[in-house]
Amino acid sequence: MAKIEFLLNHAPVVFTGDPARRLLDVIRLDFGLTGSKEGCGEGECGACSVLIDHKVVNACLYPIINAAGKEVITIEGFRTTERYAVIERSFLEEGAVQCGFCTPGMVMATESLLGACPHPTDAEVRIGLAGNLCRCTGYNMIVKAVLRAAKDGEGLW
Amino acid sequence: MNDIGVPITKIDGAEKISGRARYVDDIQIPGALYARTVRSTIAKGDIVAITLPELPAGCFVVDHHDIPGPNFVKIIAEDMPIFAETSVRYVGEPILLVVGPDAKTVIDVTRKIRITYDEQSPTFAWVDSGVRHSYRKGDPKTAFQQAARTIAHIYRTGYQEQAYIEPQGMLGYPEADGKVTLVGSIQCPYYVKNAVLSALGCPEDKVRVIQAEVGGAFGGKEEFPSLIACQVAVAVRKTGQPVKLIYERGEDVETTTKRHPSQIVLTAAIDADLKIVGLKATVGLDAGAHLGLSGVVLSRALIAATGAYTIPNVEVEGDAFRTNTVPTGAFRGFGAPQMFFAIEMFFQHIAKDLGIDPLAFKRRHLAKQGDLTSTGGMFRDPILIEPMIERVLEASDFRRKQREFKKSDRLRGMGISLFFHGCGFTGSGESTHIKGRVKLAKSAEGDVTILIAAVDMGQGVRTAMIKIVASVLGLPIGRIRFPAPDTDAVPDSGPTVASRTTMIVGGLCARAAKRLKDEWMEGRDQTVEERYVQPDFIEWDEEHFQGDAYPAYSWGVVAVEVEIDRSTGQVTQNGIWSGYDMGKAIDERLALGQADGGIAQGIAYGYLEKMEITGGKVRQKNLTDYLIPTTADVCETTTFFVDNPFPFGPYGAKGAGELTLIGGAPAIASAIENAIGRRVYGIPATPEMILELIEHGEN
Amino acid sequence: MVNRGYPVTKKEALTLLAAGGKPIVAGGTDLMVKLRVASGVTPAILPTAVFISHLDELKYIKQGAGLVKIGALTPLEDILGCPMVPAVLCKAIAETAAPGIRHSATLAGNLANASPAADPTLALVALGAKLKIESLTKKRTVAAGALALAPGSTVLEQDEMIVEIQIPDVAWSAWTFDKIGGRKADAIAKVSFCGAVRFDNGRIADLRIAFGAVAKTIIRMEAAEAAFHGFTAAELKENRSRLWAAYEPFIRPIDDQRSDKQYRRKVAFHLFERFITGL
Repeated sequence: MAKIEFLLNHAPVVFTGDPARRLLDVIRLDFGLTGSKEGCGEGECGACSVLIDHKVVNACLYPIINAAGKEVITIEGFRTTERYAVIERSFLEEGAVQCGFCTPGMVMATESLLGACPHPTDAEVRIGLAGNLCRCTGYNMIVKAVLRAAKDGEGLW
Repeated sequence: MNDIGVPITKIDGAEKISGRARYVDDIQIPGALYARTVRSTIAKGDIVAITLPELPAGCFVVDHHDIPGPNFVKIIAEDMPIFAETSVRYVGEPILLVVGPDAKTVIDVTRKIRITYDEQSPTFAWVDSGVRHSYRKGDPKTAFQQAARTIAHIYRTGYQEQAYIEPQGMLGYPEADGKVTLVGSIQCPYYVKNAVLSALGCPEDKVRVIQAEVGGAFGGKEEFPSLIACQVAVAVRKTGQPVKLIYERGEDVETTTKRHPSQIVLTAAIDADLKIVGLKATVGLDAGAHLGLSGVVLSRALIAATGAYTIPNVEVEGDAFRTNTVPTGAFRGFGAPQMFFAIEMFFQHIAKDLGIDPLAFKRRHLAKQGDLTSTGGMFRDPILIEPMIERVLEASDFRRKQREFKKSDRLRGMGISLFFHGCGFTGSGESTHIKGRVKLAKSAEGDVTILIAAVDMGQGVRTAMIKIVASVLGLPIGRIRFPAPDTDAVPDSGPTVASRTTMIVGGLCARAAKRLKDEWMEGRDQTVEERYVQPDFIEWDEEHFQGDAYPAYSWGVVAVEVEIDRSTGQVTQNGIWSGYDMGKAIDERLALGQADGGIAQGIAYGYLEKMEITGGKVRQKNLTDYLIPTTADVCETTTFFVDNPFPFGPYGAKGAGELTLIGGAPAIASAIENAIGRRVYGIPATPEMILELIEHGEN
Repeated sequence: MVNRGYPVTKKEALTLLAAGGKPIVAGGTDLMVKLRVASGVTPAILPTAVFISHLDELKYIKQGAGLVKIGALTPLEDILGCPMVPAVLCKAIAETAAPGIRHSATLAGNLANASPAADPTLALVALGAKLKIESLTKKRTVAAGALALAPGSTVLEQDEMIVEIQIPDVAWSAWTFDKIGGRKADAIAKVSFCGAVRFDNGRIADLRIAFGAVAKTIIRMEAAEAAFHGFTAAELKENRSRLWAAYEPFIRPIDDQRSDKQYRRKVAFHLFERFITGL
């Protein structure tokens, strides 16, 4: 048993339990935050993407103990921000969402990418989102949406 | 007045992007039992004994004994058991569910269950035909006798896994009076309802099916969910508690339906003018252990035997073979992708055998308006494929690149494919089997609710239907609602399959909206219903495969440019250009989404996605090993749509959902062939195959 | 001492290991998948596990005395972005998985997982990296190429952990890192190759040839490399079949769900040829 303190969507939380518990399960089951999804459970599809200290990680293989002292942000925490609003608008305008299951993960990966690289090239966007699988869109409309968000959100990142 | 094709903001877009949309695993019902499937570990044999451990409190085992009705899933062929009874026919076949209070407890129980089998020798060879179809056009016997020359080749296609990012899932709960409600990731609420009614042997009002948000489907959630719905419904009946069954990804990849592998033998009779006057096609599909829909997949494949071409004399036959492997089923294209790969490569190979430019050879045979189809029906509507070819050639700089690549040392190639997709159910399926109905309900305040069973699985059905109804009624988008289909509230407008939704269901909605507009009464609640009426020009003889197989055809052209790394056989796509005639795009942005997504899947089917089953076991059993494209694997696409309004579709729309996948594999296979100068007879054309062909393949 | 459930200093971690702690979990990106049970269920990681991701003192990249020194728990993505780090290693990391994994994954974890298909490990072996390994009572240095015994098995004692990776700073005249995966990103290597050469006055002063995913461990033959010191590029090309012959008996790939042995062997040879003939 371990007692783990971290920030979850800007609020301090305490987790008491098995340190090896998957962050995704803590988020979805203990905190009821179902915006992060399980698509594969092995770090392949990225539907579980969350931000840890502003960097995208796969929550499905992240042991909760590693989150101690860190800032965890899920789509629920990010969607109240201005950056999110720019990303949402870009995704809608570029038709980047179809079934939506990969989308919250794509958004988190986008935020992580633009945070590190505010003016990415097409190739850099593809690298930044390479860990997020989408089966519906063929990706190009998503890539365009990210490039558009970077442009429309000039100064935010 | 605004062209309906002008895009509007996707109705459910913001909800999905923000993580608010609720897929089945996001729905938490207090006290819901966790369910896990226990499966056969052998490919064929009899179940001798099942030894259960002592069950902890709150745990149940649910198996065939608990099924009130007959033990089969009501799909087309009634050969798939809900739970295996005395024998098993494939590795992974469901034998029972363990349900209990939490995952760990249930999984511990499953690990202690011992099943002993009397193992038998499985059949993997294609020898046991479960369905056979054949048809004829003209006089193929004479055509072949009189041919100046005959050419024959064999083509093979592999499995393809839908790999929707949301795995299969079903939630069931009891309601008052023995009613069972199922909420699931599904394409066809009424398929599920009818299957569960059969399994429970209960009256029609005792089963309710609601669509949760669906995280991708592509046909993989057409018939398969009926199996897990029956299992969950039986578990709910037995336990009296809610039950949730969500598949693990590995389980999904290994045990759910996927695209039929095929082997297609094509023989052409060629006259002295170097025209194909006769075609023989022998098609084999691997149906896996249970036929399910395989007969219909076979039909569609056979009907597509002549591709985008008119051939006067045709003899086509095919079988769906039962083998002791995972049952195959619906996947976007439904038999057409296999056939179009074969026929497009065949035309290319014949042209090379005859020393003619393949594209010129194809164009000499292209179907024209007024021609008879493969089954002796007619292409009644204009076919715009010629101008589409021209536009794709120009956009891709096709001819110049072909010349340039010939001279270069690098392995670069251009490929082009020409194809169609028959829209809707075959022949009279709409009027004899589906008999679709739609309802519009108008409130006194003037809001209109669309009541149909059509499922938005990402393709944009919500947006398209709302647009159609709003446009016909002349109302703002915000006044139209389209709640998630619930069989207690919506009539059966038919399954969300076969590229029928916009054309047929949308058409019905448009008619209903027109009537509502004409009959509109201010301040009153009103309901309008429309039923499908078959246009009387469609005549189809199901037994002999003669007549109009489809009411309409959508057409496409795809060109692909590739470069192959000589050292590794790896393929890089450098450009994709495509054009589609879907009649009329109801929303151009949604249509582009279908084009981009479909082409990515179709191309990947051609060179990337590989699934091997050895000894009945799937070798690529998760998303780590079954590779679908990433952002790095796709390249820029250039896409255009041509308007070619179909008189019986809303605003002229025809089918859109499957067309865009069909052209990808033949286009990339052709490009790879041209790049390496070796014939490609099978897909996926993996780097392993490519290096082998470079060394030992045919010129 | 460790009443918060995880060590925050190296000493605390080594003390836990000395008391029988195992396995070591760093980023968890390999173990959490290997030991996966199911969605909603904790992976089967032993209760004696030692979680070391909070050892900030082992997260650094330094340069000095002709060496680049990387703390064993530096996340891969941080190493990727650092100009001090040899380009060969950066390329290997760039080919590894995807950003989400790279933000958690570490070189220590990649090395200790001992997969012959691991990309960063292949680069470290080729570059002659040395691993500083510590237990509470002992310190030793092991060559990166001597760490793995077989897939999943290393020379690490139960009470030891890798604390630092030291890479000699070399100005390579030419190098290549070729990871051949099933797709262009986010894939496990079917076969991989790392080659590097330094010329001094037109003659080979240093040559590295290493292969991944074609045997139980990464293959590098230092004696064979050394035999070509003093050769010119032309002489190396002319005699490259001898160099290949030294490696060939050890290139023993398998058939698996990703590829087959013929392809792997063929491509290993092609990549070798491409590098040498391109010099």
